[in-house]
Amino acid sequence: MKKYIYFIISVSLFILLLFVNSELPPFGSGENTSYLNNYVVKKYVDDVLDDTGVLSSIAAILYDYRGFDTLGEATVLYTSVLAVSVMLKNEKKYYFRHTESTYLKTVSKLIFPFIFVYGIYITLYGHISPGGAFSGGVVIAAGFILIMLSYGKKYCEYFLDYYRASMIESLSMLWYITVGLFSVLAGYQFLSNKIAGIPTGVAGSVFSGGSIFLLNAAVAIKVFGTIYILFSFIALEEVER
Amino acid sequence: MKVLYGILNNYYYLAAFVLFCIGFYIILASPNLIKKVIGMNIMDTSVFLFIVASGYIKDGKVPIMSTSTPGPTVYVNPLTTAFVLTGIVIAVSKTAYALTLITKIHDFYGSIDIDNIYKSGWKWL
Repeated sequence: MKKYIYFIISVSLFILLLFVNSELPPFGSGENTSYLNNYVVKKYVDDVLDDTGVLSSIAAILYDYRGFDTLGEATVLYTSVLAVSVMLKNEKKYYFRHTESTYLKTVSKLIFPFIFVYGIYITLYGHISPGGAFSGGVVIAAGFILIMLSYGKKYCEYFLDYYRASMIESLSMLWYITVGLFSVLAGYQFLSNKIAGIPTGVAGSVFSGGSIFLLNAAVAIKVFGTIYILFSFIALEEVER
Repeated sequence: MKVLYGILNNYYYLAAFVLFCIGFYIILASPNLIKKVIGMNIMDTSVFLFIVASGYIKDGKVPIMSTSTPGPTVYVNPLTTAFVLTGIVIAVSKTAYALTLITKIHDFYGSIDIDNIYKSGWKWL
C-alpha cells in the first residue's frame, strides 16, 4: 500500500517536470548557455591559447581559470577519506575475502602494467586531449583494485599500505598548494599561471601549459590515493577465521 | 500541445527527468539502505546528464583547440563539463561516506533493512 503512494508521488513529480521541460529552451539551440551571448564562456573558448598555452579548454578552466575551485574539490576528497578512515580504522573483525582462482591471478598480473601505463598516458596528455587528471587517477586506482581483488588485501598492503597511501595523498595536496604559491612569490595572485611568468612552452606539446602540467599530475596522484584508500576501507567482507 | 513539443524538442532533458524520478522512487520505496544509496546515485547521474545536455550546441565540436588548421567555429560549452566534474567528486565522496555509515548501522542493529531496524526499536546509546 505504501509503495503505491510513493509511486503516485514519483509520477506526479514527473508530470510536473514535463511542464518544466516544455518551458526550457530547445535542446542544442544554446539560447542560454551559448558562448555567442555568454561572455564568460566566450572568453574561455576564444582566449585559451593566448592565456594558458594549452589546447583543451576544460583543462584550462579546471587548473587555471578556476584553479581554486579544483583545490576545493581536492579538499572534498580529502574530507571524505578522513571521515571514512576515522569511522572504519579500528574495525578488526573484517577481513578481505579474495578468490583463489589461478586464471584471475594470471590475467590480472598480465593486464596490470598496461592499465598503469594507460592511466599515466591519460594523465600526462590531459591538457592537449580528452581525459585529464581525474579519469587518469581513477584508471590507475582501478589497476590496483584489480590486484587487490585477485591477490588479497595483504598482498597489496605489502607495497602500498594505508600509511603510505595517505602520505602520498597528503603530499599531493601539499604539492598543489606549493605550485600555487610560486605565483604568490612572483607577486601575483594565488594559482595564476602565465601572467606570473611561468613558461608555458609550445602549445600542443606534452610539456606545455606551465603550472597546468604540474597541477594535473598532483590531482591525478590525489585521486588515485583517494580511490585506493576508500576501496581498501569499504570493500571488506566478514570472514570466519 | 506545448508539452508535446517539449517532449519532441528536449528529449535529452526528458531522459534526465525519467532517471530522476526512478531514483526518487527507489529512495522512497525501498527499505534496503544499500538500494537507497543506489537510488541516490541514479539521481546524481540524471543531474549530470541534465547539466551536460544543457551545454550542448548544435553542430558544436569538442572544446579542444587546434594550432595548425583553423578549427571549427562552434564549440560546445566547456563550462558545464567542468562543473559536472565537481559534481562527480562530491557524488563519490558522499557515496563512500554513506556506505561507511551503513557498515556501522549493520554492526549496531544487525540488519540494513529499515523496517527491521524500526521493529527492533531504536537503541539509543
